[in-house]
Amino acid sequence: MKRAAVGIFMLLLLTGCWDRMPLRNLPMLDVAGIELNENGKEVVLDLVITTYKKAGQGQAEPLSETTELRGNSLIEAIGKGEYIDQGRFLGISTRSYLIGERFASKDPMKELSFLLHAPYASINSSVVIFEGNVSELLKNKSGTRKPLTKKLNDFIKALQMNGTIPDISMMTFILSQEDPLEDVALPMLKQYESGIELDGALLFDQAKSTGMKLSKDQLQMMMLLLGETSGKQKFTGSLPATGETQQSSSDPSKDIDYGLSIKKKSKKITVQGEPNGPPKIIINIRMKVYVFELGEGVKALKFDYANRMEKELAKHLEEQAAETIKILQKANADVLGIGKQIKAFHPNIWKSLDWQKDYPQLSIKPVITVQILDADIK
Amino acid sequence: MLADSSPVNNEKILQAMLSHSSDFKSSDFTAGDRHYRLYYIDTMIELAVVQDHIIRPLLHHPNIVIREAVSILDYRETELLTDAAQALVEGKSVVQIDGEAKFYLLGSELKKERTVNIPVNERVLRGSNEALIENLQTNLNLLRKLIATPDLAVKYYQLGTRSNTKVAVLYIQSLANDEVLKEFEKRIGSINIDYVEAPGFIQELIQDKKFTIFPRLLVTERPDRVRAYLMDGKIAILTDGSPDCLIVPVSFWAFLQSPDDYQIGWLIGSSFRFLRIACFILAISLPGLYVALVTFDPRILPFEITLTLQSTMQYIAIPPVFEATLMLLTLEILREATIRLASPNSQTIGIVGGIVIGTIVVQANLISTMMVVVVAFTALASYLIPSYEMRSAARLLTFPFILMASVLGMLGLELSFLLVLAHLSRIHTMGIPYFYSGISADTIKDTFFRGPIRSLNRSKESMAQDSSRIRVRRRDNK
Amino acid sequence: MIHLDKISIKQLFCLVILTQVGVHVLTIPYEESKNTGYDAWISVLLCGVIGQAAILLIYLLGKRYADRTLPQYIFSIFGKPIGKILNLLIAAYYAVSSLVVAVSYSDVISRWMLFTTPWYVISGVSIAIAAYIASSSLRSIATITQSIIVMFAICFLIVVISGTGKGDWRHFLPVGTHGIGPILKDTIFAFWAYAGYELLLYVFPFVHCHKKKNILIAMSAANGFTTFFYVLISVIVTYTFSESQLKSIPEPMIFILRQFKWPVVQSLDILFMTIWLGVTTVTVYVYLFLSARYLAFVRSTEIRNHSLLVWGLAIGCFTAGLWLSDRQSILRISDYFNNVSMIVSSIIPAILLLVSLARGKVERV
Repeated sequence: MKRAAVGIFMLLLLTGCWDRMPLRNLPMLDVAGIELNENGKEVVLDLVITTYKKAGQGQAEPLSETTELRGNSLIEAIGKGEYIDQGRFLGISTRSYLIGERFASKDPMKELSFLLHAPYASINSSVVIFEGNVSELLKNKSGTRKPLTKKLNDFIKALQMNGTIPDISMMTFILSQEDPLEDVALPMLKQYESGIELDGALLFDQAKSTGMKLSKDQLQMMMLLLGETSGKQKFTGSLPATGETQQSSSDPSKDIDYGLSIKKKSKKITVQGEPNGPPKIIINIRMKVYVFELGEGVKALKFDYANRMEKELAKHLEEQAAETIKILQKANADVLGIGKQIKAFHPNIWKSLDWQKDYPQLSIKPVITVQILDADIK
Repeated sequence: MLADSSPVNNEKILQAMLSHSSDFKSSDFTAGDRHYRLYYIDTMIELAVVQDHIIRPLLHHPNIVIREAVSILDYRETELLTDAAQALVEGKSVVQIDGEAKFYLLGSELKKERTVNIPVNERVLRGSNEALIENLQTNLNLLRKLIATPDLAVKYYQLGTRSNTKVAVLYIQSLANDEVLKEFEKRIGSINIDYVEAPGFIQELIQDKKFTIFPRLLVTERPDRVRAYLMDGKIAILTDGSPDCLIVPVSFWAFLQSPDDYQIGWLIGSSFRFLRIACFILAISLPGLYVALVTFDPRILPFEITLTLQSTMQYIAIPPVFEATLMLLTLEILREATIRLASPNSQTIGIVGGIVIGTIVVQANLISTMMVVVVAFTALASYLIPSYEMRSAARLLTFPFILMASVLGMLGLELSFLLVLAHLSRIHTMGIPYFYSGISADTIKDTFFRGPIRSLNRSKESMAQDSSRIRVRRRDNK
Repeated sequence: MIHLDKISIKQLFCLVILTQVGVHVLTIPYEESKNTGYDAWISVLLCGVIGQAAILLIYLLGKRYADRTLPQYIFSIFGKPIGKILNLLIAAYYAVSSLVVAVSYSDVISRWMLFTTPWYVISGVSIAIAAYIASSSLRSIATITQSIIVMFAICFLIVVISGTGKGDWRHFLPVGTHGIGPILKDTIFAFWAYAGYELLLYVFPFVHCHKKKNILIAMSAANGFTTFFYVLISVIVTYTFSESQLKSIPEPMIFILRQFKWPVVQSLDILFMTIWLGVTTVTVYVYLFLSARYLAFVRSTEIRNHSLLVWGLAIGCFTAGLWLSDRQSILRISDYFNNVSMIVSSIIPAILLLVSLARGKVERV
């Protein structure tokens, strides 16, 4: 015991203050916005620091401050941060990364890969693409005290919880460049009056932007095809009148509006090998849905009407799904995990494929079965 | 020194031996043709006993052998003056027949003692409310009443060359561990000191040489607790003049047990015991944890919580380490102050200390609100520990933990835990290891939880020799 | 002494598990996936099975000399001079082993947690604590280890909770396509992760048990649990990352732990690494203890002053560790050490058993 006491005493003489990161002096990096400027040469880094003012009497008012850093590369811009404002910026609890579209389209991985091994980086925060000028969005607006970052973060979180957008963390994004079968689709946000709205998704092939985007509806369809269930997501739209397709709908007023929420969903991907040529892929989705609007108004649903509607809905959703899949194939982004399926279950077929070339050529057919659960009367 | 046959000479010598005390008196009386001289210390004798049972029978029966007349149980004859002096100091009356060089020592001690009352420091909700008092005889009486078996052995010792304090050692013959007993008797026999302060001095003199802040002897003032430990094969030490009973040897977990765990049902008792142990760990490590989180690793906390914490410490002048140490020191000062003061004043101190200092210090931007919360919680948690010695140990341990946390962060906290664990495992009491792991299946039922009685017969705490001893005998036992 | 210096079966169980599990938990599938990719968990499993065979060998050897420890009965197998040399070599192996474990974990801490703290502080503190614990009696060590099993349980829980996040079972399929050859090759890499059961060679006579067979059951259970733990980690990592992604992350477990997000606590990797320090310290101090014990028998008479030996070894390890502060040298030494540990853990007991059987002498003192 004496020796241990001596040892500890000697330790105290070393008076360690090496790795201190005192909380009170720490600038809390809330949102990091990364963008290329207009001529595409400079990286603009916007760091938003949030603090609480007037905390202590049970209230807390968040106050955000933006610092803009510019440099030839992201690392250089971060380096410049040592000399501005509060000194070292540590992104230990960044809540989200906002990437400008221009930056995303120009090989973002070259700049971002270092984050994976950087000591204090928070690599688990969501990454979203911002359509528009990130600096404009994050700039200090004088006169307004609106906590923009809180709104932004809450919005992103709500979307993720609803299953409307996929939750891609920085780590997943960076790692997706290693594997051609792990492509991601990053959600896109855009400014909307004084707020923010979701504007679809940007497709990436091995963390390189393909330039192809999904619209909001297509993004919803992609989430459906991915098999991630969330009962809160509502699908709405309008069915064309019987016999006609969506595009050739002659009389929009005859279209039947539908609104449904999915209770249970199961997905199955079947691979059918073809003797010559690439295999045929069928994505089978069975859904049990609650319908709260099917063109019947207040009247309760009758069984045979419901059965008819099931088929109509299925056909309609299949059309939309096929469209979405076509865009995915064109972008060569295997977000649905089809390559993984082939590689795992049909290694022989996998060996005969050259994924980069063959994926856009594959025939992928969605087959959707809908079962309406709340039909009431015969 | 031998007695003289002349009482006058004896009296002179006795007076000298008793340092010429003014309360040493003597009285003469004659019965028949015998002259008796009675020596006594008038502050120590019980007048009624002396008058009714010594003087009266001697006056009524002249020329009788003293033994046949005097109806006193405690009767001894001696020819040594030193014996007589010692007997006088103990409150006995010494009778001498004029012309005989012999003293008759008769017991007539006056008992002035407190009545048996509620325990001061060990309150419980359920269970008996008798406490031991300062008088050794009464204590032994209480204990013998609780354990009415001839197996209970009581051995007297006299410690202290000047104070001659009587010490009684109790154990149950068929249950106590022989080796521990032998070791213990060796230690108590080797005490050579002029006066004994119980329980403190005895504690220090008996226990092993290894230095540690953890208490190694349990101190209790409840006879029902003493009984429980005696039944486990432990040894109890009672001292005359002190209401505290020492139990030896005990393990670390005994200090975290409370008697009412066993009085309530085992499920509820378990939850409270679990809470108590969790609070013990919290009381030691919570300020250190806070300092580590706020100084070194805010990364562990999510963004919103870090923001809240940051806002509370935004304008505080001193770093969290000093804040913590300062607040804890203030708390210690308050605690000591409330012990010293008489009741009406202690309430004032409570208000001044708690409310005024706490609030004003926050408003003056000296200490952050979060730190006040942490320190208050630590203080509350430490009060759950039933034993005063263990509580003090926990309070003291907090400081090195804060220090280690401020040097190495969370790692420092972990290292401190390891160090404390290692230190605990090396301590022995009476040759028995002090700390055993409370987690393994056979020990957890009396450390972290309070298992039902049926399962407690093989408890590790018990060192009873009789392995067939069971706590509950089933009806159909063959 | 009232309670003899014996440890119970449960304590043996905890001791073996905690000695086996060490720094490797953070790097497990990476090392093994160099050849086998997503089939690394098979390699890990196989290695556990091999370890089980080695345990059987050690048990049989120990049963032949049930009342003496290896450094004592090695003389009756090989004779005095060779026995002494062997004891010295084994003591050196254990000392270097504990140094490598301490240095590896200090390296992990200095790369992920305490960046600017000087190297000698981190390694010094871990070695000092290990030396303090190693200088107590076997019984104290067993008690401490039993209490540290709580920390291990907490870490286990953390791993299980954070492992069930985003991932894909298809990363495992098709199973076994990498072939037996690469799988076996990678099994060799995993060997050092399982080293630790050879402490039975020393501890055998000190275990308090009714039947000797209980020792074998306890050891097998401990090894089985370690295998389960390692395989679980490999499974979790392979579930989260696909094979090509795995190649770029040398320490996958840390990234997985970071995924965890609760309202009250996030980024569990720091918490995990802190608590895991207790577990690696067990490995370090058990090795130090064993090293000192083997060293004590190098002379003709046993050297009694155990704590002197331990602290001497510790100071030696610390000074040697000062030169190993960069990652490259650590990796090189670990690789080299892997092979050495394989020899000491399995080949040496096999040789000892064979020689002992060949001699036919079973001396009972």
